[in-house]
Parts: sequence; C-alpha cells; structure tokens
Amino acid sequence: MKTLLTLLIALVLVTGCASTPIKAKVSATHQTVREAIVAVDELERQLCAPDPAQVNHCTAPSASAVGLTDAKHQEISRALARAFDKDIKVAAAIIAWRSGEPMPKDLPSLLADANDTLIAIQPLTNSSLVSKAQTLLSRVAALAGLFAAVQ
Amino acid sequence: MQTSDIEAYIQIATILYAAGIEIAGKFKQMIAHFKPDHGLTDEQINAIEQAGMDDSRKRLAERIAMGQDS
Repeated sequence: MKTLLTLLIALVLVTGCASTPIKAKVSATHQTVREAIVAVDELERQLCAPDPAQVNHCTAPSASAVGLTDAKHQEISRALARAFDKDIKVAAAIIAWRSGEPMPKDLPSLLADANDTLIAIQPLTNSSLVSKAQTLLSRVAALAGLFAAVQ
Repeated sequence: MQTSDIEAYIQIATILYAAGIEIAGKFKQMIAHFKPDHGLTDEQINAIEQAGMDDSRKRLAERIAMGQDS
C-alpha cells in the first residue's frame, strides 16, 4: 500500500510538469530584454528616419534638434548592433540551458552593451528614447539577477 | 485461502486504488495551484527564442549598415 501510494505520488509529480517552470521564467524574462532592445531600435529609427539609400544618414528634420546627428545615429547603431549580437547568443544559450547550469556566458557582455547604449543615448533630449534605454539596462540586469538566483 | 478471502482482498485493493487516484488528483491540484503561470513546453520556449533570434539577426544587419561612418 505504501509502495503503491509512493508510486502514485511520484507519477503525479513527473507528469504534472509539462516543461521546466524555471526555464520558462528565464525565457519570459529574456523576451522582455529583447522587447526592450527592439523598442530602442524602433524609436531611434523613427526619430532619425534613415535615408533608405544611405542608412547611416538621418533625414528627419527634427533629428538634429534632439541631438541625433548622423554621428550620434552611427554611434547608437554600433551600440545596438553589439547588443543584438550578444542577445542572439544569449537566446541560443537559453535554448540549450538547463536549470542549475551557469548563466549564458555572453550575458555580462550584453549588460555592458546595454550600458553603452544608454551612455550613447543619454545626451539626447528625447526623454522617451532615454527612458527606453534605461528600461533595457534594467531588464538585462534583472535577467542576470534571475540566473544568479536559480543557480 | 478461501474464495471469500480473495474477494475481500480484491475489494480492499480496489478501494485503496480508488483512494490513491483521488489523493493523486488532489496533489495534482495543489501542485498546479503553486506552479508558476508558464505552462510552455521546451519546444514552445525554443520556438519563441528562435523567432526572436531571426528578427534580431535582421535588425543586427541593418544596424551594422547604419553604424558605418559617413
């Protein structure tokens, strides 16, 4: 009877887990990071309106008024490129990740890239873009904190 | 062992089995209550991450072009 009950409980515990809840939480938190990078990307494009024939050049009349010169647009673009590059590597690492394993090795670099993006954007007078860059940094930090907590 | 004994044991086993199923069901409800609201399978998680990677690769290529010096 005791053996039967033990087996029944074990069966419930095993079959009750469709996925690893921790991995799902990690992925969901990572998705907020990706959304934040995309949000910065989209707004900067909107403010700059890159020339389709020369995408390192802004065409929006209001761009320079907020400090978004071509040089600043190029600087922000390089920072975002590094962030996207690291985020792709973090995503690949999360796909392979199992609970208890170390955090993705590129996550500290992504945190540095998010900081660099904020530093590049901070001089601009568009508070919405600055706010989105701050959100990006805090979300990457939150992802790193989550990995630290689940290890 | 007599037939009536066997029948009695079968009845007891049936009752215990039904009780076990009921208890297991209650445990499952308890676990579901405390389980985080992330019922995704690994395959679903991976598909979401892959879709994000595909979009990020496109944006990365565009940002590399935008980052070229004038």
